[in-house]
Amino acid sequence: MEHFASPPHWEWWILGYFFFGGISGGSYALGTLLRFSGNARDESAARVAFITSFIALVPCPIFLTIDLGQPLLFWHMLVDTSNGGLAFKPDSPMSLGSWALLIFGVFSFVSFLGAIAEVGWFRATNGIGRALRGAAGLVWSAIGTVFGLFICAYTGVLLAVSNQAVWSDAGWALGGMFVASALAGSAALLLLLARSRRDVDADTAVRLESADRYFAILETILIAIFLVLLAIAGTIGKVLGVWIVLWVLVILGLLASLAMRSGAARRWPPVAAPILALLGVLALRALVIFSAQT
Amino acid sequence: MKTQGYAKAQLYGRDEKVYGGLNAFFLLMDKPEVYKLPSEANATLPSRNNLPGYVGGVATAVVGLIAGLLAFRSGRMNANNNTTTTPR
Repeated sequence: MEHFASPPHWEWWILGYFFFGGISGGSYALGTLLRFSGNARDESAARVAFITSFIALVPCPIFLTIDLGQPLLFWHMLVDTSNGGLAFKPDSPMSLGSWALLIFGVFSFVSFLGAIAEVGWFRATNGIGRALRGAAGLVWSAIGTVFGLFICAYTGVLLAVSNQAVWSDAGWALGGMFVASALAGSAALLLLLARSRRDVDADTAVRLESADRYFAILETILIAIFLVLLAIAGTIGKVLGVWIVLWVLVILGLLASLAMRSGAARRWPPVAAPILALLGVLALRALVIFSAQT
Repeated sequence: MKTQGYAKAQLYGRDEKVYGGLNAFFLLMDKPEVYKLPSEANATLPSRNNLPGYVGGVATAVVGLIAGLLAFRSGRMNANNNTTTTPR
């Protein structure tokens, strides 16, 4: 593919959005999975996941609108100013992503209100907490998970449809790679929070380690596919060179997730492996975003 | 031009071979690559990644959700087994 367009100059705000958006969507999915596992002892970790999801989501629209350059015109992403109708373009990942962010925000906020009521932080929303218990809550969080994971994936698709080397060369792999990375990072963050909270069951933390390992395996496979696609396109050199530093972080993060249950990792400080895993998630997005634009 | 000895001369964009037509055409004296222009062979738009990108994301999400559910449920079964065997 011939690349002839100038770089879009997506930098730190976009990196922040991709990272926090991924953590938000991934955390929401984990909260849902914990509820679907049907174990009452996982409930505390599920609440932490839903609270984390909303807190991580808050900076996302802020970062996005600042990156637009004209933050006050952010609503142009949703409203067609020429006819006053809705600006919904199914062919555009940016348009779909704007709508998905708005809809996921509603799901994440309501689940957050329910979670903070259940932990006793905000009794005024007890009714939401009660409404989200049982089957209705499972349906609600399952639908929210679809939008949450869409937020994780569409950022990769957005890059893949941009006329830049690396991004468009990675084809179908970028969306999946970002989903796997978001799930791995969210599991690491939840583990980090679980280890610092006494109300999260120790058995739940062990199972979060297992989940994180599975997600890291999935991420490793997709990173390998990503590199093979770049090698075929002849642009793998763009993600090497100076970017090796970030690759080291990515690899350390993956190793930390994969080795979390090993005997050696048990001797590390409890926060070490999850923090390494999170840094790896951030580094992966940074090298994909920045390497293509240099 | 060709009869005058410019064998590689061509009208670029005249037909639909490059991006389905350019609504303009240009006289090139050599291959498009010489001018860093897309050729008939590599003139593909990245928008072709749109649907495959979503498919890749959905497939990964499904695998990830199944893996997560297995991790949470298998651990629970182990925990239940341990609880059952502890009194012995």
